[in-house]
Amino acid sequence: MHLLPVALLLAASADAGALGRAAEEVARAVVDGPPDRVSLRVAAPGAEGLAEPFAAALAAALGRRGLAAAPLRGREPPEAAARAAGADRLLRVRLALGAGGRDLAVAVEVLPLRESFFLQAYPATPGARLIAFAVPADAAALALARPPATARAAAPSLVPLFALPEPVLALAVAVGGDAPAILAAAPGALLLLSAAGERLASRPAPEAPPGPGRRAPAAALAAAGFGEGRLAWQLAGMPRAEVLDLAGGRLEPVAELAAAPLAGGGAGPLLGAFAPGLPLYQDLLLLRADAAARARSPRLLQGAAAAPRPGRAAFAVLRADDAAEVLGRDLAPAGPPVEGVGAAFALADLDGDGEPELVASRAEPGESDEVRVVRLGPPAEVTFRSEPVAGALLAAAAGDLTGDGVDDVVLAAAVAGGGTRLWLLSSDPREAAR
Amino acid sequence: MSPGRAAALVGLLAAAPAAAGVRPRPGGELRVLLPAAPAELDPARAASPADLVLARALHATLLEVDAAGELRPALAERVTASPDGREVLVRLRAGLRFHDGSPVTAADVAESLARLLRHGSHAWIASAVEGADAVRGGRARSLAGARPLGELEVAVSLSRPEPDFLRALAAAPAAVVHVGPGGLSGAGPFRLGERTADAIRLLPFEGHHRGRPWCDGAVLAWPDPAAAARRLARGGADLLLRPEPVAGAAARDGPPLLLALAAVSPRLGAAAGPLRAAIAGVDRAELARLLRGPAIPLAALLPQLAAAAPVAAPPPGPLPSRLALVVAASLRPLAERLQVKLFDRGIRAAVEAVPDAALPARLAAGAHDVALLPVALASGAPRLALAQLAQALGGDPLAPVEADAAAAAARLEEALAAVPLAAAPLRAAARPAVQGLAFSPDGGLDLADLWFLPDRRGAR
Repeated sequence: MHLLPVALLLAASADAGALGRAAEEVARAVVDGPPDRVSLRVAAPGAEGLAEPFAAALAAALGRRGLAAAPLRGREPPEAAARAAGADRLLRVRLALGAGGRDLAVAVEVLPLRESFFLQAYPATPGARLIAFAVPADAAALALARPPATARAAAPSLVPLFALPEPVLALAVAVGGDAPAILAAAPGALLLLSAAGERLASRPAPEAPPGPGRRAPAAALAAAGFGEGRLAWQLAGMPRAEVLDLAGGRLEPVAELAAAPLAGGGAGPLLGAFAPGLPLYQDLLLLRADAAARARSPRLLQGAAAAPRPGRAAFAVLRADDAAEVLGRDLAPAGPPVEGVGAAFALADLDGDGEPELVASRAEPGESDEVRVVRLGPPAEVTFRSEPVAGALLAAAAGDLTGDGVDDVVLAAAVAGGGTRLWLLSSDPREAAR
Repeated sequence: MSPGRAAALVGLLAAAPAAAGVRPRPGGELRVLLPAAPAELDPARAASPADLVLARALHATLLEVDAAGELRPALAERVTASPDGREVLVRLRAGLRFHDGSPVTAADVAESLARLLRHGSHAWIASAVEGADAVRGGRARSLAGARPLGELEVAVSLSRPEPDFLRALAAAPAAVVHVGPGGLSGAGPFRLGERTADAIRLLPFEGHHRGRPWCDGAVLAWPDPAAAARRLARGGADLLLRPEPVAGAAARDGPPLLLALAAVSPRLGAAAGPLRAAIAGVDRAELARLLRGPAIPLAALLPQLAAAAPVAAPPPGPLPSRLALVVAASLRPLAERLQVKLFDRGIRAAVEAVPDAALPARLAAGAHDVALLPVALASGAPRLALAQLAQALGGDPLAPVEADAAAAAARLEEALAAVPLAAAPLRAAARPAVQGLAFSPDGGLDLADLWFLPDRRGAR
């Protein structure tokens, strides 16, 4: 699919969709004084495609109300640029997809511009204020929010990252900070690692409560859906999950969750619960914590994954029979199950076509493993198969680790002696050339 | 663990994965075929390999032997020993319960040790605890040397240094049990389900200290050897714990577990020595072939003591012309071969086979000249195995076993007029889908660690 023409078409119809409704809402709230000149600076971190169409829609909405609105472009500080443009007010708009992509969140700072800084004189307009609201996102907004395709390698490549002495139970990729980082849940601690393997921070495992243990250790870990710069993790056997803040490169606890954070991605967090006495999950899938929720079935799940950039598929869960169920944003089936999926699996849009692929290890135990990329069907099709990987791949997570705007996948292989070797599956040509 | 140093076993909060690099999958019912019907649900009375398999499924011990042969905490969170090894403090994990819902307490630990001395064939486990003789002799009900300190701690005082005491606590018969109004209850990975004449159903116990078993339950049955092999071959069973090889099934042998021994009664007087020599002169390799499976001739009282000090030559003397040979039914083929060999020496032996479970009582009655008995070892530690053998052969279970196991074996052979004959491991043959099959060095097989590969159906 060619995204650019589609994006243009969607932008042209933005006035009628979620962007249009949001622009009208902002315009209604802003027009509360005498007609004046307004400058707009619109940002949409992580969903950059929304910014330009929204700026156009907002300018049009303001124009219909008699305000002369001009979007600001360039890297100049917005206040200086607005003043230079002769504006009376500056609207700083931030857009984001929230609630797992179901809402378009809008925050607008309305800033009156001083006529004279030295005299502290203001124009005759209301003072600074903040407008914040959300409207339901529609398909056009979601399509615009999706990053544009970039130049791709012909096929993804699997390259070794670094080794860890401890076993890894779960992985996540944290983006949004200074640089993408890898989170690795080990039996004794949660590790924050740079892409080069440097240990940036760690958080010791909470003390286990009294009572029975687990036949093997397990962890749930999600690095998206809990607020910007936050993650959640829980070791099997612990009564609650910890929500940690990554601010400043630390792992600071900020809250607790009553549900296990199975995975987190662009469609928000996927919550659930560990099965009693086993290092597995109940078949309980939630988009938000709900103490009254019931399991979908008595089956048990080996793991869960969330797509950083969801398309039709947003989540996947791995059943005990090694079949991965592919689910949409509303947890409804988004395709037939994929069979023969190993414990390391992830949903990642490796080719930038807007639809995530399933990245999976081999289901059968053996001396070595392999990584497969399955284009979700129907029919499902294996589009990539790696060379044998030493050990057994037991954990995986998706995220843009290389910073090229397209998903990558980090995988952890348990190797002889109890350690772990991390691997990167990426379509970034720079990784293929390493 | 040596007595001269403090030992501290730090609790492992999470058990190691069942196998490196493999994540087991839960589910499925495990169908296990045993060599014989388990005769005992009480671990203190477990005597046969089938009893020990069932004891390990239903019950849990304070410590366990891991795959590397090292002790690891089980019901105990921590076990510490004084420098001389004679004061042992056991700290239980909090929050554990028996199958009947009652909490696992220090009082249960003390009572379970005392039960070993009051009942069954494993008094050797608690023989070094202070007050063991009083309990064994019926003069006391509880052990003076096992003192609960609150709900979760018990202090154990030993009357003599016993370097293998902690390892004895890891033997399956040393399981901690709770005797409540509903009977005996354990804290093992499985609960007892339905019990019929030809099968025992086990249910998973989520409250086990290492978590719920991988499988959703197990059914133990004990068909005859031919039927067992057929069932495994046709997919009607998952695991066969029998000595015979089965075509098409991968097999794994545990350490030698089942010993066949001859015990010569002292009532023969001067003829006992020459008779021992005559039995010892029989080709043991020939006898070993009559045990099913990969049995080996037993050159010493324990397989691991093959280089044991030779037994002193018995004094020359007349052999008896007739003798009564009492034999466990499972060893009847050996007895018949021995009968032939003794006939060649001019001895007419009348063979009387009794059920294995009835043999201890039959031997205690003393109306035999020679007994052929099987002993299923409950521990892989040589000194502990010798202590168990001493009790099985009618010796004093409270007598200390000297530090040098080889010398102790030779002395026991002499003192108890015993002749080792053959040894056999427990052999596990399993369907290819069964994973996690591993014997611990003490011969244990934890059914809770077994899991199934999913059926491979459909397009890949």
